[in-house]
Amino acid sequence: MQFGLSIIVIKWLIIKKYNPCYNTLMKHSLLEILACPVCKGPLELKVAAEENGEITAGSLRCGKCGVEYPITEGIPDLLPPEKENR
Amino acid sequence: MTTREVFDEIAPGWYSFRHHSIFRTELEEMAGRWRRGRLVNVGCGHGADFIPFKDSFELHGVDFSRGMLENAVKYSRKFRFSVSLVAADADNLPFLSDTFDWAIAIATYHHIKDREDRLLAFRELYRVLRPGGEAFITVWNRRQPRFWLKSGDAMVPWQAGDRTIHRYYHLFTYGELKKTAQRAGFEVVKISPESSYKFPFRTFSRNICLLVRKQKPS
Repeated sequence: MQFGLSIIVIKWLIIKKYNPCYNTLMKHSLLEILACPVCKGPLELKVAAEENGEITAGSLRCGKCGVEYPITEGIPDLLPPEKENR
Repeated sequence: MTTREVFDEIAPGWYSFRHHSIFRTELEEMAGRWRRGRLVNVGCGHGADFIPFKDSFELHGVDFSRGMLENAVKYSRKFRFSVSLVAADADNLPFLSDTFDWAIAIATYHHIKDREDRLLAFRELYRVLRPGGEAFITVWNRRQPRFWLKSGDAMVPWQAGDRTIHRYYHLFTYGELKKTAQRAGFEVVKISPESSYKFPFRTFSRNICLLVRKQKPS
């Protein structure tokens, strides 16, 4: 009984160590490499919703171009306005 | 229908049709060559081509189809890897210059319609790579037997349920692909057929695989 329990605990520890959280949604650190798709200038981040350090909703704004790009379901949409219908 | 809408429509079927990368061998070779670093996948689709890089690279995926990217979220959870996804155009990459160590663009650039836009996409890739960085690119070959009777551009059908959708392909020749990369500033390291192609001359291969480098300033 005790032996079985310890096996479960060991298994749980192994899973915890080798199964970190896998992230696919936008993180704050992404801002360090992002640029406006058109003028390549800096983008200003506005967070509307955040979960565990991942931005699920919000926007990225280019001050120079005056364009606001949405972040929906954790994925920023940085298609230039005139390329939307390619 | 725009090319983007076409790929949004194709996305659900594509997820099962190309669940595994057909360039596994080539990409594993690249992962071995590059070893670690920050990698961008231009035209990542649902992200099957990330697999060989998933354990030792920082992954970034770009695609203009939202439908494909939503599947990429699903795919990365299934195969347990972290990736940062952005919806963007290959001609207008939303990244600062000299950002990435490595890049892959698997079957991406042959979907760009205009000659000038194709060059622009190569220039954008060149811009976001750091000096000394390399990119692995594949496109369809114009001389493959399937297209012998066609010209340089083709509409290839895709069956989505009871509907037939046509995808646009610009078919490259070896010379044209090499020249486009060079005009964008790249140094060509290697240009070859896919590894599964066994004929002694490369002319009729299905794909053209290109490895290019952004040179360090001397």
